[in-house]
Amino acid sequence: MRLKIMKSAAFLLMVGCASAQPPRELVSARAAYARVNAGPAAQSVPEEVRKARLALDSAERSFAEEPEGSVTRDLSYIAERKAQLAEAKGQIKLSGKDLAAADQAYKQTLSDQKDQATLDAERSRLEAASSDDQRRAAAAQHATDIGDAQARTEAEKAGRVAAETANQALLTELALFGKLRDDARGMVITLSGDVVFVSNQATLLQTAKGRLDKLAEVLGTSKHRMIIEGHTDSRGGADFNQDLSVRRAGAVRDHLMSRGLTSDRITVNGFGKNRPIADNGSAEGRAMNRRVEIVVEGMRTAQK
Amino acid sequence: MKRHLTKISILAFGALAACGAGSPVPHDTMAASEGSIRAAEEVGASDVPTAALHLQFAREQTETAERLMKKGDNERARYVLLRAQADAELAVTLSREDAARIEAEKAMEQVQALQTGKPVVQ
Repeated sequence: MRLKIMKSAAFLLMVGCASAQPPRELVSARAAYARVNAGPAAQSVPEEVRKARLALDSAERSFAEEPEGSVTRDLSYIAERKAQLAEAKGQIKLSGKDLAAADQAYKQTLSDQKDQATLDAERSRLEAASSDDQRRAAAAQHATDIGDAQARTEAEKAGRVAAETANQALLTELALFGKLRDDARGMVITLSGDVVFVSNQATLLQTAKGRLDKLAEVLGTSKHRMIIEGHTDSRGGADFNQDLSVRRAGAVRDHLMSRGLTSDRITVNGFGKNRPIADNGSAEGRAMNRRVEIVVEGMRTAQK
Repeated sequence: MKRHLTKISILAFGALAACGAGSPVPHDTMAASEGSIRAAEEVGASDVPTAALHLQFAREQTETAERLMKKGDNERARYVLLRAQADAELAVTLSREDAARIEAEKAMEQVQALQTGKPVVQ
């Protein structure tokens, strides 16, 4: 009812000025509104499009009352800007959706790639394990068949090869956890402190717990003993750093123990800032020095 | 019909009132348009070509309004300031639109880089 009255009022007013040509500004404003009202903004930012409509209505009313007046041109000019504003706000909404979709795709891709890496490692471990079994079975069969000393030697050799292959598969998985190197005691896995711990604390980050779970799973099946060593950079007091390095190494041990590794297999040491592996003068060097090293005794990165 | 006539008379009264002599100095409108211009400057409208154009319109119209106010034409000045404000507000939004578009494009490029080549290994 109300709408009808408004419409008839507008109509009456317009009839009064039917002969007048609309100013250029009003023509532009009408076109701008028609464009935004037909575009995606009508769906994504309806409130803005409504404001543009109200501004255009004001301009139309002014045109009906005073076709030649400057106010009509001003209101038309403003109405065109409001339509452009609604259009731009609609675009911002669209960009926001694109951004969210891209973020989602990024996370999905990353997760797919991680899954693939885990699958690949698992597959190579299973392949190695199954070929070990076959080799061992074949050699044992051979030994039974001919029953001589040479065959037994071959069986032992096959056993050694099998053990080495299994180790190699283990290494492939361990390489996922951190940098690997050898020292006199065994193989050293270096975990970056920034990746594993909350800054300046011995609290494990959630992602690090996941990695350590996997490490426990991998090492749990072997019989190697481990030494866990904490290190810090040179900033801060010696006592604080010493204490932090011990607590960090302890946190790693506690987590591995919570996943089934027994305490008799694990030794913990803290060295504070006393054993840097890089220059403490640079941020990169300090980041490298903040670390936890897990020494797996008797293992080697290169088998021979 | 009665309500219809009432509406018409309200419109007519409004039109008469607008033509009344001695409009007040539009201080509030001036402040609002200057505020919008500052906002546009702060979001970096000068660096986005489409936004810079409307920021320029807004500044020019504010100057025009000042000249009109000096001549005592406050009513006309008020409308020119409303134009300036509409331009400045549009400049703000166009700057934001540009920033949002660039951000979305960058994110999409990152996804593509991840999918096509260099996988990110920490």
